[in-house]
Amino acid sequence: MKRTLRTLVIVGCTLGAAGVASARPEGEHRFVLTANAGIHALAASRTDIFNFDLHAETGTLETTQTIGPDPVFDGGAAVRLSRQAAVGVAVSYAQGRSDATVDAMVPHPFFFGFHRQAQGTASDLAHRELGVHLQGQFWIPLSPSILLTLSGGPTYFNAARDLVMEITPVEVGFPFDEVDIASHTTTRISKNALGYNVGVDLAYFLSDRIGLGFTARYSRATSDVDLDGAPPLELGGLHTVAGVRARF
Amino acid sequence: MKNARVPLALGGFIATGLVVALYPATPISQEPISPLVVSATRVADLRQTAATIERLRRDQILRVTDVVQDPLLPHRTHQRLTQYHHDVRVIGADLTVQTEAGVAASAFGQIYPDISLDVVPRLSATEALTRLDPNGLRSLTAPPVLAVILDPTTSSYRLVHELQTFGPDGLLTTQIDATTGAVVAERYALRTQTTGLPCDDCVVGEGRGVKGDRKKISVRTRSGTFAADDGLRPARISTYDLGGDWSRAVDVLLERSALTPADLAADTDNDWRDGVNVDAHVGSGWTLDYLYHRFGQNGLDGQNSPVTVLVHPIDRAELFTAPAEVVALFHLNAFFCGTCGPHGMAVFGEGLPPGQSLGNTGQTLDFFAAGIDIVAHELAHAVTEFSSGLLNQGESGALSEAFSDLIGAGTEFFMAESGRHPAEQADYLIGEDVVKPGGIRSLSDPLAMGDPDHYSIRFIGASDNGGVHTNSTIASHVYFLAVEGGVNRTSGLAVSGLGAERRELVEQIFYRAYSLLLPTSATFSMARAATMQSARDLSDDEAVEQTIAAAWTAVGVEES
Repeated sequence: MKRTLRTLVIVGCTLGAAGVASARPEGEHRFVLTANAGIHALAASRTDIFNFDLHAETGTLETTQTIGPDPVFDGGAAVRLSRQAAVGVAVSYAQGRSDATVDAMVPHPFFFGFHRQAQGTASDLAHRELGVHLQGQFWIPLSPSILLTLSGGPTYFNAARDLVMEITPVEVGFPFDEVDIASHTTTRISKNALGYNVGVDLAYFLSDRIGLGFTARYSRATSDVDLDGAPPLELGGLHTVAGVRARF
Repeated sequence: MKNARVPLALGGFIATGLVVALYPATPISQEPISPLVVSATRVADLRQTAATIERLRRDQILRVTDVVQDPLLPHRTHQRLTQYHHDVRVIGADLTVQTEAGVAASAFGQIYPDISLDVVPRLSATEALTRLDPNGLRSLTAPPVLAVILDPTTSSYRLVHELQTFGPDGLLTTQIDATTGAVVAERYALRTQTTGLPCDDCVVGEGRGVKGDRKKISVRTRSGTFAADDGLRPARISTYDLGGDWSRAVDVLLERSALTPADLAADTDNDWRDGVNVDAHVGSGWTLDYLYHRFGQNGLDGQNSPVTVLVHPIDRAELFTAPAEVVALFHLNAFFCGTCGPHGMAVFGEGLPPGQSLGNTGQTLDFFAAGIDIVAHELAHAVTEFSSGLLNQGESGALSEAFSDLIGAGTEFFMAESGRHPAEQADYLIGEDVVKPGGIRSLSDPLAMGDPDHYSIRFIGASDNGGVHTNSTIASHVYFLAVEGGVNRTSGLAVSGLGAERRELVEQIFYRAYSLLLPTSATFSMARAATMQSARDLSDDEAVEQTIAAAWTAVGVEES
């Protein structure tokens, strides 16, 4: 990610330096393109609780997984409809891997209601999230080279998550008061969801067409995963990205 | 036959009818008996005892017959030394010596250093059996043993053939004078409640016991069905359902018929409906769990040997048609037969059909397996048999019964208080889930059931092997007083108990004393000394030993 950022900054500075001398007053540009990279942070960790049957009884499996922060790549385009109103679309893509703590209450082979506790960690669980953000934009030129943009609109998400849904307990042996987790089984669920986004972008144009900018965008959606004990997928979060701007 | 009252033909679970018959016989030797009684816990006594033991070992009079590592105090070792006279074992003569780093910490026992008896039998064992049973009605259930005994009726030593047989009078151990062929002593051999996933095919099912309580049951898959064969516990428990075929049950006990996998209690869907099968199989497992958790004991013999359990040895409908000895054995009893099969067998009787009650008390009798305290009691007899070997007569027999009742009550409390089976109603009654109302013995108030709570009112007759069940309450009441405290009704002495929160310690104290420290012919007095020694071994708190002592004093047992 560092390398990408450095490349974007170098490109931006190069383009910006080339255009400073020929900057035009704001109001004459109709299109803005953005390319960003940054950080995607989810608001909360995720806890899934699944039941399983073992030894003639039901046990529970609770996994807690904190998603992110992850690198996010973001690009967009906007077209101005009036002096300050514009519409745009941005596409963001984030992915990463994380660990989950696994807490299981495993039924005892000899006694009802006498569960044993087993703990473990599930590593390297993958997740990814693609967001398509449609935006109504309100452009606020602070100066000929500084443009503040407020935006908001619907977001379409496509996301995939690895969830730990099963464990394989291994009995330590008589008297069976302890149990270990030998392995776990992950299941990848993939979901689409519709949500919303709001954001703010601050761009500084180094030249008439090229500039640098910073975006903070919050997007949110939930999607049922249709599994007993699994809460809905919480999608989106806060993107804080920076990158280059181009206007025409 | 409705509401008929069933007389007890033989001593069973509720009556005290087990008989010790002592027959006068011509003594071979009229030497005065002067046993060497050892009850040493003090350094000076132990030094003197150690020297005596060493001398007797050199002379091959005492032989080490067992060495056990203390499961609760790993640095302690318990040696059992048995007396031999010219290579013939002297029954009831043995010592237990507790050592730490080779130094004796306690010694209990009784030996007879002055025996001068000819050990060449004039009668062979076969001839002795013929003398005992000229009509051939009895069968040997174990190899005959040549032994020296002390005949208390004549205060003399005798060379005897000890024969264990089964016949019309039930399972008996008979000592026959190897010279004259006279019967010296005879007693019922069974230790009874007188009326008293480590393996591929292991699975856990569920079932309901006789009382309707839900339990898990550890079984194995076998040919498309589920068999009551517990492979999860290190001591494999196999529960056999004899389907009410009492003649087969007799043959199995006599080893005339072998148990096969087809005899295992079975269920087709692993949702077990036969409450007797469930209670017997599950209760046996729970008893092993208790022994392990409380005392670190592995199985019944300390070595996780297999446990064999028999249920449905008779059909309830045969109460009035089966021979009396069979009714006594299989309707009115639960017992552990130590000589049946390679590791003994526990048998749980059927009780009485609905509408029938016991003649002497009017109590009804459910399936014996329904009481976890009864199941644990019977299996505890195996623990005793494999450890201290307390003789099933007189005071040692009463101590054995008391220990079994302690394990029975202890298992109940353990299951209830640890949360393993909260539905269990733990109490100090024995058999209350089977013999209704009231049970058969009370550890908290023995007098309420007609049993003695004080040594001064002990039963001194010959029946019930010398009152082993009746007099057991004197010792088991000590356990109750040590835990809960209270006032002994006969002596009026009050004991401040250690409290239920120290029940585990009290049980460990008694377990060590009864299984490791006591000799085969232990007396109540020795039990007092052994439990006090055990209290010192296990706790630095002097109040513990003082409480144990106070409880024994309250029941009228002092150190000799």
